[in-house]
Amino acid sequence: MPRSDRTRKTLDDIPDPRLRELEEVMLARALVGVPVRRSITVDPAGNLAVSQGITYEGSVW
Amino acid sequence: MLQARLQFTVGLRSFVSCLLLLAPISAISFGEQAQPNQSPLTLPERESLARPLLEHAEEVANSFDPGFRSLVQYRTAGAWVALDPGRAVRVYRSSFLSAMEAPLAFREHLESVILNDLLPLSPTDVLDLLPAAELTTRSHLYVSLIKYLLVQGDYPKAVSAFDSGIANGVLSKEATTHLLASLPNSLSAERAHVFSESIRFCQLFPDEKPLSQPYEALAYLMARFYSQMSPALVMRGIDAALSQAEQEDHDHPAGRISRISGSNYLEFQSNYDFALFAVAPVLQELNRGRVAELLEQHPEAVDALKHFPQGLASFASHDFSFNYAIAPRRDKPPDLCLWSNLVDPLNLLPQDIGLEFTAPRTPLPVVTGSGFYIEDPKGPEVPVLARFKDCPLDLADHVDLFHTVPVLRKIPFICDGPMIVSGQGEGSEAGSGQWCTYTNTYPRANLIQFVTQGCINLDHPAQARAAIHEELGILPQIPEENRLGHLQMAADLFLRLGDLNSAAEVTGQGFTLARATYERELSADNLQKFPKGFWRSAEIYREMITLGVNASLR
Repeated sequence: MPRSDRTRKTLDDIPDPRLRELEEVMLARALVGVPVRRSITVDPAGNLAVSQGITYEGSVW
Repeated sequence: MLQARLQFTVGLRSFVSCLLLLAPISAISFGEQAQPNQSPLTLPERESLARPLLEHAEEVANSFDPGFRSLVQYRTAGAWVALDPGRAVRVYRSSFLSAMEAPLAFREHLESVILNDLLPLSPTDVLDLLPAAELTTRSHLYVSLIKYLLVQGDYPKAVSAFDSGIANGVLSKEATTHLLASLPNSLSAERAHVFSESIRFCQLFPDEKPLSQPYEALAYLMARFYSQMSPALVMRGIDAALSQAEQEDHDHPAGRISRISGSNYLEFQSNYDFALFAVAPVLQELNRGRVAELLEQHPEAVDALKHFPQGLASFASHDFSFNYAIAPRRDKPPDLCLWSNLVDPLNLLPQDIGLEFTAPRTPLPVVTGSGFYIEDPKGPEVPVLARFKDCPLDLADHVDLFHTVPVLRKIPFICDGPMIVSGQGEGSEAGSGQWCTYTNTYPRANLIQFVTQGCINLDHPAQARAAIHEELGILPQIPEENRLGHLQMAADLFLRLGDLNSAAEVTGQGFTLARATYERELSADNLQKFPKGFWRSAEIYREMITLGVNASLR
């Protein structure tokens, strides 16, 4: 990796190995220019939220 | 086109000032502070860095539990879209199969995002996988699939998708309406098939109500498309709609039912009355004797027909006036547009790979400057804004003015208790017995960002840098729970100015925030049943990685 790659090194500090693996994939996505269109998050109360961006159900883009 | 960027402002005197939106890229100066001997990575260099990361992730994901495995495979598949679309399809399929083994608590959410991503890449694979999905996923994705195929003009496959839906317990009134309205006259046999299958579905699954009440869907389709169908088929549909309404009344006597369409409102004693009202005008054309006999026994339907003579067509006139036909288009689906492909209609320019990529894309792209700046019309920011709004050449000499604006301002959100005199401060409110909940705002950071963006848009990078550097000292003062958005914006603005060191410093603060959030989430009981990839800390890491890639990879 490039010598000045602080971001790559920061990933090594993620304590959970599986989360680190996921974030390395996100690094790869950013490198090749694939935007994140959809995401799933959960809040501390355990409520899931799905952000779908564009769907083909609601509109014909 | 994104490049055709708009600008609009609402007067600065107004309470809400809209940011300069999407300033012309050609007017922005970039790279003036780019570090020497550190040219940006080329796309082939970026791809060569990405490939081994993806291959490794695919390999190790096989050892993860199904939920996390599915998530890693899902994100990996998305990256392969840019490098190897065939492999992307295969990995999306693996991701879906993993999701099928994931806990019910989030299985359908995983299925939904996977299939929505896969749809424009390979509708055939979505059609293949969909029968195995959860009912909620099926209900939504069959609609998406049918509409997507109609946009592609692939009518035979759209009918196949409809058939697959029917076979798997899904009849969508909306998708069926689009399909029937879109099929060309040369495919009248297919149209009759769809009509006939809709009737058969309602007869086979009278209790299946995934998206709408079947007999009402049937009555709607009869009223809308009867003129395109054979009388025998229409009569079959009417009989099915009426008998199902009767069965519904028998199984679930409601007393009174009401129906609303726009400003129209109707009440009936029974579902049968409503169904008869809906189809009576159609029946009138096919069997006058029978409709007269039925209406004589159901005076409520007669009363409704006096107000809406064409039955459902006049009651739901707004809907019936809408043309549901979907014309084929050849636009590239937004999901397949990449930053790296210059001919993509939604292609993002290299300098746009900052903030935009940190937020899910919506029809209107989330880009720097698309937010709103809200000022307190009586606050100290008003004279500062007046001084800096045109980004004067001497801005750098007067950045101290920013310090007259508070870092934190609490805004009453909900108040209750005895009335207070307007204009009194928080202390007097407490003394009056009134209580309020407050929301935190950060007027100094917001003002600095607003001024910086204005300077960038006006092609004054030196003034922009002077302004945004004032933000660096404020960021740690913003509570963690409110800091992320400011970090994103600051990093993005530094990137736009070519100040990579400062951008990297800000993303470094973002990683620290992600870690602190992660440590807190470790002790949240409610989170432990979910993959850590869903946690808020994972999202913060992701957003900072996206910004950080462009700040530090040289």
